[in-house]
Amino acid sequence: MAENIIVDIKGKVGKFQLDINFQTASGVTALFGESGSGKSTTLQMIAGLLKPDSGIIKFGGKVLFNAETGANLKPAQRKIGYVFQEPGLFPHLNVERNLTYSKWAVRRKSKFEFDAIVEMLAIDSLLQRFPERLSGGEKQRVAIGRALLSSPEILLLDEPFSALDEARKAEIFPFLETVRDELSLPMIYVSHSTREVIRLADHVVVLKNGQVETSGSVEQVFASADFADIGLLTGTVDAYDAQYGLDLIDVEGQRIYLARANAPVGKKIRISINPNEVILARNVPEKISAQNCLAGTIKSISPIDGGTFLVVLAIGKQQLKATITDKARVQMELQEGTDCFAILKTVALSKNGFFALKTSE
Amino acid sequence: MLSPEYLEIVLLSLKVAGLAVVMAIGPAIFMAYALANWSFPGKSILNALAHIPLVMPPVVTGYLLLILMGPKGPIGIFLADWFGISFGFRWTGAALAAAIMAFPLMMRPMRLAFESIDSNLPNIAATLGAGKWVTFFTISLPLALPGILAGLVLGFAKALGEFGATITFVSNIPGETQTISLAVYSLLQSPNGDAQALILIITAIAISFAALLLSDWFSEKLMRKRGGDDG
Repeated sequence: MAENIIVDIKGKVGKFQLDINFQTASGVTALFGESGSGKSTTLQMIAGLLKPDSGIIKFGGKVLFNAETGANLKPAQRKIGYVFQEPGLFPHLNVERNLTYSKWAVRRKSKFEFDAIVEMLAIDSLLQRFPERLSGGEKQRVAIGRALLSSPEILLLDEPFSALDEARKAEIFPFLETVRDELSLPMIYVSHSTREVIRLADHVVVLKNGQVETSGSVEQVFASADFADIGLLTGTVDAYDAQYGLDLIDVEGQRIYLARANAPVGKKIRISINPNEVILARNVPEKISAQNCLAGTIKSISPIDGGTFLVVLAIGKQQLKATITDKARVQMELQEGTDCFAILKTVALSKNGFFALKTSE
Repeated sequence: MLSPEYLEIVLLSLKVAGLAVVMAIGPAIFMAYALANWSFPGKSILNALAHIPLVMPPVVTGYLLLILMGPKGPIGIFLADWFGISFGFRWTGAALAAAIMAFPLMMRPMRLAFESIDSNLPNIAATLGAGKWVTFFTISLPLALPGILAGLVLGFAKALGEFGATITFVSNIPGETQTISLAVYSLLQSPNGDAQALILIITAIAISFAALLLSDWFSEKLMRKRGGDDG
């Protein structure tokens, strides 16, 4: 599935200028940025709900918009599923009629089984209810199901959980992961939450003031010093330590422990690491409660706010960030090229979060 | 005590009001939808034009109808020559006058209903594959139904009570154009008509009341369905 998405557009909404250019592969692409950065506008232009002034939008070889040739498919012709911030269920139709809207209103045949989608989103008990009688989370699940049952070739999600509280969000997020893992459907996910992006996306496009600041794989983009508070490692579940209930994760040939990852052996997972919780050491420490000690080489040291320094450690092909004080830097004689060890607390790693990545990579 | 004339008057009134509503509903829905959803040059002028029958003296509306659509009016002659339709001094003319007078009253609640629909719903329908017409018939129209219903009742009541434009356009002909209102007027002019007028007045009140109750019952049913019992 090399269904590339190519977006190269300029447009104007009111006084807001948009100049967006990115390409991305299948999988989940996050459009990430603060509010007002142009994420939603970009998404609406991809969907055909707004028209760019110039440029081109292509998806999997199909031209959705091309200002030069005048091509501009209507939203109904683009085969996109769109989940908005507000669920926008049709209030006069019950859940079942909402879900099957594309089928009965425009006779579109669904490529996904109705029963399978309903089961995946756990909405089978809600079918006869009207939207007014659903909770916010239930509504959004139905909205996702309705979008999926319209047989989209790509799913666009515009901060679909922003109207929900944290508890609701935590309850619904797994459904989105299931959708990602079980249907091979490219997704573009608009979000201002790094946590959501880390959890869900393969690629990320960072927007600022209507322009693309950077784009690439989640690992690449967040490795930058601009995201000094985000650290990521990717590993594979290697074994399960039944005695202590810990998972052994292989990271670049070295091992770290995670508590209760609940992921099967062989599963690829992404571990979110707070650089403030990483301890650096020149030697392997003994009798220390922290379980994990990764050997690496310092790739860069740069000053950040408050007189502290951001150390980027190369661990195999991956990078790990640690923040240290100036004092530590001087005493330990750290500089580029120094070999040292990163000490990671299993408890901290487990608390920050680790997320199973899609298996088919 | 109820004379055959009484029955004739009541049935004629219902017939006239019914036809008036039928004539006005299509244009009223269209105009309400257009004013609620589209922006186009001359929108405020069109809006004012649609409301003119509400503020103009009914007798003026009736007179304009007479000189345009009457037997000697240009449109009247055209319709009679080409389609064999004539409104002058006929019950259909009474219905036309009532329809025009009822039009702005019918349109108002419909427009409010269209305006109160979440403007994102048509976008969502579009992403689900629906074109403009499908969206209108599956989303906008059903959601505006309570407002359309309210417009219907208002229009029906207005048509039933229409007096000035009707008497000016199609006169007061018993058995042809003499609706309840016109009959009450005639009866009150004659020395012994008070009793009969009273019966007609009570009938008019009863019909209006029944129409209101019916619309209330219907919209409540609509709302209860949406509120959704679990089953």
